[in-house]
Amino acid sequence: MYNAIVSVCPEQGLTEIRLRLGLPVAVRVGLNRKVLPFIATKKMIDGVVARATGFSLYSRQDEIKQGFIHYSGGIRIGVAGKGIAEGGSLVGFSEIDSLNIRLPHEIKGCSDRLSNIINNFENTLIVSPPFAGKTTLIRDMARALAKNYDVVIVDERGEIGGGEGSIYDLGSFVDIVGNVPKTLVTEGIIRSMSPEIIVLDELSPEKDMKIVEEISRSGIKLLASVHSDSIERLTKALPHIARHFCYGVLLSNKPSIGSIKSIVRFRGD
Amino acid sequence: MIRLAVGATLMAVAAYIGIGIDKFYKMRVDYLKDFADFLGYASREAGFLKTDILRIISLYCASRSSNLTKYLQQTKQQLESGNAPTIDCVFLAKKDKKLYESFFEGLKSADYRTQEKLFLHSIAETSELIKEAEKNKKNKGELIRKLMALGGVALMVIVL
Repeated sequence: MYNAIVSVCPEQGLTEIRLRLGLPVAVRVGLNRKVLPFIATKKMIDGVVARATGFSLYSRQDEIKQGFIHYSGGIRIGVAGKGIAEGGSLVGFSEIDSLNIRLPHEIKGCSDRLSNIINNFENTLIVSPPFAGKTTLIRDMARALAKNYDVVIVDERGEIGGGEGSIYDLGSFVDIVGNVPKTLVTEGIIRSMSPEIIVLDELSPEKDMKIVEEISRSGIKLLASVHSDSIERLTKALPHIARHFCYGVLLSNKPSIGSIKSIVRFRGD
Repeated sequence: MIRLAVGATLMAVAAYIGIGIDKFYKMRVDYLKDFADFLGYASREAGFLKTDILRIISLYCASRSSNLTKYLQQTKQQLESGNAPTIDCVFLAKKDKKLYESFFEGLKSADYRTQEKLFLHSIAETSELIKEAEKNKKNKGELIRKLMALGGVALMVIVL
């Protein structure tokens, strides 16, 4: 399938492949959408799911319950279809009808623009809407920070470190805890890994606030990202987030992915 | 002299065929026991570590050397290339192959609950097949080997 896609659109800049059952395959090259001249079939979707789950659906069930499957190299596959709910929570999908395959990119040096923050690091929150390059930036910042600090990345979705078959070079001073919810591992990391900086991608304000508070209280510095398109809106809606961070960096996908729209200092200490 | 040589040859050939048939039944038991061992290993890996089947096969083949490992490697390649898992082993009966193939096919869509059931079912079925294969080995394999040896002696007597 991938070969068929790259035969009709350039591989470079390909960031997303969307398969919707019975509809044309759509891709995103940079920010531009493109509809390809072939239809996503059940066989195609099942084939991608089988491959991504290592031909063992059970091995990725916890991820599927959260709506994604992580694949080697940091590829994340969003899933949608007919869900099965039990006891008030999603237990899986009886049919997977749509896939959103996100292809990660590594841009070494993209955090150089934030060298002032990196060199005198204080808790920093990367604020970004989808498709603005927050994971790419946070990965490069982690690499840069690891030159001077012991960094632990809590890589819940395997996107920062890339998981098995990773293509990313994060240096020699980074520890990665992958594929488990942040809430389950952070306490153990604080106690046993002695990190100077913890990196968390895609904070969920409701679920992850407790661990943010715990890290903040323990004197370990924190680099995290969260979905939003405005720091003002974020701090108004979730004021308890801002008080744990010194800096907020707002990313935008305009004029291009990874553009820094603004840097805000939350507090003066 | 020629009769003696012909008789001895016929006796040896008959005994050899008997041994070959006996080996066939023995090998089926060995393969099924290897598969049961693999299922036990895979069940622990999948149950505790949620390891996917490709990795389970790699780990199993790296840590053990059995008759089955060659076929497991083939199955892994078939899965990776998007083909249906099949086993082309002359020592296995049709229903043995069906169990093997349906186990790997079933895992593709088995969630955490159903994989447990799939493992339990496959382990139980394999256990039944081992009993049957051992019974066949004793009742058919050994009997045929002895009969063929006796037949060979009888042929030699007739020729002489």
